[in-house]
Amino acid sequence: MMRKDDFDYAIENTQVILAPEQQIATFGTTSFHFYLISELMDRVDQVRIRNGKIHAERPQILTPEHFSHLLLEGFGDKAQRYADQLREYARNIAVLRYGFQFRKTNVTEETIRDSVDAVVTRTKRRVEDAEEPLSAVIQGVDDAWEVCLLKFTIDMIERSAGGNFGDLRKHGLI
Amino acid sequence: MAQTIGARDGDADHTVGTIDLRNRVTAFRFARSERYLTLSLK
Repeated sequence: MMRKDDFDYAIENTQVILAPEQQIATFGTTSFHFYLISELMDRVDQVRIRNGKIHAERPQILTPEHFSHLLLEGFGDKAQRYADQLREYARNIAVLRYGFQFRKTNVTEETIRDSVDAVVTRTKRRVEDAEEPLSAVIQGVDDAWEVCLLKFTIDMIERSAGGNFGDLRKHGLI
Repeated sequence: MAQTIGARDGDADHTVGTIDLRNRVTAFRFARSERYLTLSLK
């Protein structure tokens, strides 16, 4: 089982080398292709590349009340104060839910004997040359690679939220 | 876990929100995961 330290280490040591040019679409599903590069834990100069797809659902608008309920369900007492504040300021708050789907079975991987820097550089160049606007190159931690993908989704939300918010406002939805 | 992020609306900078990571067991295995972003409308 993964410990909190392992989780934190993976988050801190994940770097999105090349982010997709496209962001999470406001009004539809977006499928990102990732190349996740990591050094093997116990071998020198052996690098693994996993590639697969991660699907971002259309961002959903939640009412603050519904979000408060979800918070309490997931986090219990610690979330109580935050949930109360949300209710208090409900009129001034919009909540977006971002959902991601990922199938482990669709991930393929290869192991290469080279330095991680060389593999990162080569993969980045390959993706750039191929003009893949939905592809990402990520450098992460081998045995916690799913956490690295989690970090990637957070980055994608950060990059997309402003555009999504603007789109929704333009359509009068929030 | 919570992380504060900023978001910008293109023509107005009135959004700063908090993002909450909500990872249940199934989510952590990544069958499906969700994040919530709260945005101030002021």
